Amino acid sequence: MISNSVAETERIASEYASGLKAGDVIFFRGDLGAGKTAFVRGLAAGLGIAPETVSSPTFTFVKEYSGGRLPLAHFDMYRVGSPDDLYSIGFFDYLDSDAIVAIEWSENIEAFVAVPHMTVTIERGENDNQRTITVEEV
Amino acid sequence: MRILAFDSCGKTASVAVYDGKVVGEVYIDTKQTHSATLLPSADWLLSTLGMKVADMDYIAATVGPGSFTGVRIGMSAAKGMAAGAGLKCIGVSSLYAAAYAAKDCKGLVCAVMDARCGQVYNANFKVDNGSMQRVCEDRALAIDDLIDEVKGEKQVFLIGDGAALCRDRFAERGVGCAVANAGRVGVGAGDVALIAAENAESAVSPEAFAVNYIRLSQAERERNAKLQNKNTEEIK
Repeated sequence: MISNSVAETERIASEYASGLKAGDVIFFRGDLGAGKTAFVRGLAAGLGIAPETVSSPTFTFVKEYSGGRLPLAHFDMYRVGSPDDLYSIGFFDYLDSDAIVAIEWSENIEAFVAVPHMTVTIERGENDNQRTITVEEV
Repeated sequence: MRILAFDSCGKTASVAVYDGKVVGEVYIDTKQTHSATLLPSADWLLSTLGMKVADMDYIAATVGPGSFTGVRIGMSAAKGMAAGAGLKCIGVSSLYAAAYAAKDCKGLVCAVMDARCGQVYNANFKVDNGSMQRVCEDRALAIDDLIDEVKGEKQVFLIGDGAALCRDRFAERGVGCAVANAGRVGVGAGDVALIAAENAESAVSPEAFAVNYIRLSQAERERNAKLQNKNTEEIK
């Protein structure tokens, strides 16, 4: 899919959210500024969570959003390097819950987390505002 | 002796009251978070029994290993109640508590809890009609390493919330085992209370009541570090 703006990325994500079910795990790939958090904001909107409450969990590792059709757990793994790190941010506990688990910087945990998941890749397009969004099921 | 006992280290949560015997127990095995179920369960159980926290002599809890959040929920509940009522705490290994439900078997009981990343928290016990002899300390290890260690045993019983996970791997490797107490995957806090009653001399102040986190095994961490480096290079 091609998005030409942040708003369009959010709309694509919001539509994508309608197909999600309890416990789904989504890995995100994309550079800084690619629009990963924008996509998660759109997911939140699609789940019925106030999108303006969504911000990057870089410093807190995880932010939890309830009040929607399903809870949403939004992780940022930028500073995660080992299974111990994952353990002590409570990551595995979320996998046992009904929450949709959205993971930015999933590259950092792919070596040691084997769970069924979808991968959303966001790449820069032909101009500054354009993005190519690819969704794969793993 | 009266004991209020908690377990929330694994996938299930449980509360029990002991008064010379287990007089009541609540056991919850759903996806609800333990923070939402544990205290209401304790509240309901105590009020149904016509008891208060202040009527207890001790507060007992499993101290890990297990889920990071789960361990902290149970320990915090126990510490807080003990501090408020001026009671001491008795800590019990979650793996010993799991194995306790299989103590009437005869053979090697492997208590296993899912630690993720292909690993389990595990401790093994030689069990013979009610007597339990610990064979190893609580630890985290790869399921395959556990199988290599116990494959020569005559009769292996798996118990705990990792039992089904391990049974499948034992079967793939052609190593025989049986799942004990299969109808109930988690620990009943009644067992935690019974173990605590046998070990009341180990009670400590709530301030000194300490969690036993077990880190994933070193070998596995090194392997993961290598894999991760490889992965990062590929990304570059």
